[in-house]
Amino acid sequence: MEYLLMMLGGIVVGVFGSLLGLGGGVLIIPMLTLIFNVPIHTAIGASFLCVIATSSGAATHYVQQRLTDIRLGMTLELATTVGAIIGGLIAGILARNTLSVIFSFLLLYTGVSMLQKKPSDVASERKENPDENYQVKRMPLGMLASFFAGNMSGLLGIGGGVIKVPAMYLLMDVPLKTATATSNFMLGVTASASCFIYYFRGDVNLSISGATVVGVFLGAIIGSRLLQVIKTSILKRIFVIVVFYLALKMFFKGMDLHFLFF
Amino acid sequence: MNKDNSLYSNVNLTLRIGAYSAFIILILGLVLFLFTAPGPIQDAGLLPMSVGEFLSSLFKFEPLGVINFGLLVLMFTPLLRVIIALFSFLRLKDKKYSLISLGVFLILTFGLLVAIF
Repeated sequence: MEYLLMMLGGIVVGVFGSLLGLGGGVLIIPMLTLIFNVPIHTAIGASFLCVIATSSGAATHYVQQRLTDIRLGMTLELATTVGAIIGGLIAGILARNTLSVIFSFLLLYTGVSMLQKKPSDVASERKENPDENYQVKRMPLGMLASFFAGNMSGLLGIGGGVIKVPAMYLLMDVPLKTATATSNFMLGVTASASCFIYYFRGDVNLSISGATVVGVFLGAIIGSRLLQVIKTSILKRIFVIVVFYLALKMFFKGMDLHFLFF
Repeated sequence: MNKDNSLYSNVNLTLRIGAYSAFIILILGLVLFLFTAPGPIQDAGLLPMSVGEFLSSLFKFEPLGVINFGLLVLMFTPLLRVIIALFSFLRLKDKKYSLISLGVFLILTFGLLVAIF
């Protein structure tokens, strides 16, 4: 029964994720730890597999449309994978509570960044055309940001798009659509690097991961269909409130203050 | 741009086959799981499973063995994608990106070895 509920939860996360352009890790981990009381390391392990599944699903769409810059993606993957391996190893020695608190800060950052001006508005101000040729700038800085993104990914089980997309777009002058598509493309490889470590450490629970992966995969398919009929601006507002609430809950869970918010 | 056609279609195909076959195997495993094994959440399906255990459970068509197989297919899809990209770059005689792909492959393999041992 719990597994059916997890799968349902996965579907909800998958729908939300694909409507809002998120990998899903940001929601999967709070869902598993707060609702199903799964240990955070196990939740992160499941999240990696969900990230690989959504990335491989969404990435094929972008690759097919040639929005992905495979060369740029492969280059930055040199940095994200090293970061992800190190992050995955560090997460193994951190206590559950510490990870919960770090994760709550990540949720806070995600909420705040969604409240800010939408990058797509800036993109239309820049009058960019995705078909136009562009010159990638500031590669070393981009590599550094990718290393950091990979590191956070390995540590917290997220895709790291929240860091990579702005880095490519703002630092490296890559058009927004290409940055999003390329970030998505890189997620799979980055997540698999840390997933190996979680898997062989025993932090992947087969039934929990299987149920959530299938849910998220189904949700992502439904979400991409809904994208044409649903207004995402209202959804975004709801999402920001949910994320702030989850941030508080994860923070208090990490601090062992369970009496609050129940 | 057109010379990249094979690169893009190879990568696309690899990701697609990997993700969808993992998805189908997982659904199969979960259906088996829901009809056979109840039990407390934390105890069901904990790794690590030895290679022997995994293979025997897979061939006996046990739910956890099937789920494990699906998750492994999913987990190794990105690595396969890197290998396919490497060969595509080699065929394009693109030295720089062949080396970069090789680099990513080596890092992933290194990570895998660190994880196993």
